[in-house]
Amino acid sequence: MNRMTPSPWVTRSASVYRALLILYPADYRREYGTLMVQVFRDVARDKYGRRGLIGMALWWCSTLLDLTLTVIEQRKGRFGMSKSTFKQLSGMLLMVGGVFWMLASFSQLQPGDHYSYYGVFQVSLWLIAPAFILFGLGCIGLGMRYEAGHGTAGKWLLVVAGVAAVLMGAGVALSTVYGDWWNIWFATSLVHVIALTLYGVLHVVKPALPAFRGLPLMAASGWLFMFLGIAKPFPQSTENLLSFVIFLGMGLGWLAIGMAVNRQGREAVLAAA
Amino acid sequence: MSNTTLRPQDMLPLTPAVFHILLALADGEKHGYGIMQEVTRLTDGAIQMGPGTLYGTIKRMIDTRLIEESDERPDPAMDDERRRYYRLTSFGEKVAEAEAARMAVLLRAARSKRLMGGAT
Repeated sequence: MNRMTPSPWVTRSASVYRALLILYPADYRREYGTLMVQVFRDVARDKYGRRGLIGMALWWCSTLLDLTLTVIEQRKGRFGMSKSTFKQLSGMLLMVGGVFWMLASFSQLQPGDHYSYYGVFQVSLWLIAPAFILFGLGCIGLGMRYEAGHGTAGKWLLVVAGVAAVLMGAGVALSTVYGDWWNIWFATSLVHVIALTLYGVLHVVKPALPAFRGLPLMAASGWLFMFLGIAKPFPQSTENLLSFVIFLGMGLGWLAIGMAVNRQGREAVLAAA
Repeated sequence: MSNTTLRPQDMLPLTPAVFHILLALADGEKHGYGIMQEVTRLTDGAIQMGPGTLYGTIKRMIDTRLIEESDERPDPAMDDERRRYYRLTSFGEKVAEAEAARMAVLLRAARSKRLMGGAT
């Protein structure tokens, strides 16, 4: 066993992984949490030693996928939820996530300038994390549900976008306690937007929801939001207003996708009856 | 879950993760990281289990009594004493043999259909 002092990358990664274990049920975490962190750290040390940061990045990618799939596996047993029920729920998750996101758009406006009651700002801010988590789970369900329509590439793009969204939600929630979680939020939002945009393009060519060919691209309009935040081409008040409109549009996009998925689910049930 | 009434054949077919862990423990007890390394070695690097898959599968295998936690601990000077070691139960060994035999039959069928390179 390597007893040398581990790299700070390995130590920090293990700390982040330990924090992410909160997603597992408490009794499972108590039983296996320490062992999982130990194994994660052992492999991370090995990967870092062999291939440096590239090795670490690849290990993180496979770990995040592993984490998401096994969290769902451990959680679904507790709620008695089968894989097919989870798939069926995806439309509902996206609808609720969309509504949450539309309400969260008020966080982009300046309290005092656009509305007087500060509570609106606070509530809208608190809705961001659950909205991300709901989209994320909805995306994963959608990816699995429509595999026949959008193919394996579509499925995995949605799973990656979904995993990233769940982590974004966790990042936003944890950033209220630990400031440096914003870095995780930024990295995962980039992964989410890239995967969703690729899926949006794929959906135009090979639609899973033929009546709404371009809809997933609308939900991927987070690029505009990121552009506004980084390039800052407008004065602050205009930026706030545009961010509000983009947030609202994204929420509307998710709500429409959720409704389309739900309607298709009902039609399938009627057709089978 | 008790396996007192189960026969090894009742457990088949095994998921790849379960079979890989049974294979990794076939020649002696190992801790989690040791199992991961052995699985990677046995599959020529094609499979790298994540910590979630590894311990989720270990939990299920303990519940179905395919493996058990070993009470023996190595010398703390030689290894980290916080690690847990796992070993096959006699039932787990029989299940691994039954799965290997099932696969051997499939392999023979694939060879006879010339689906494998170097088939005779």
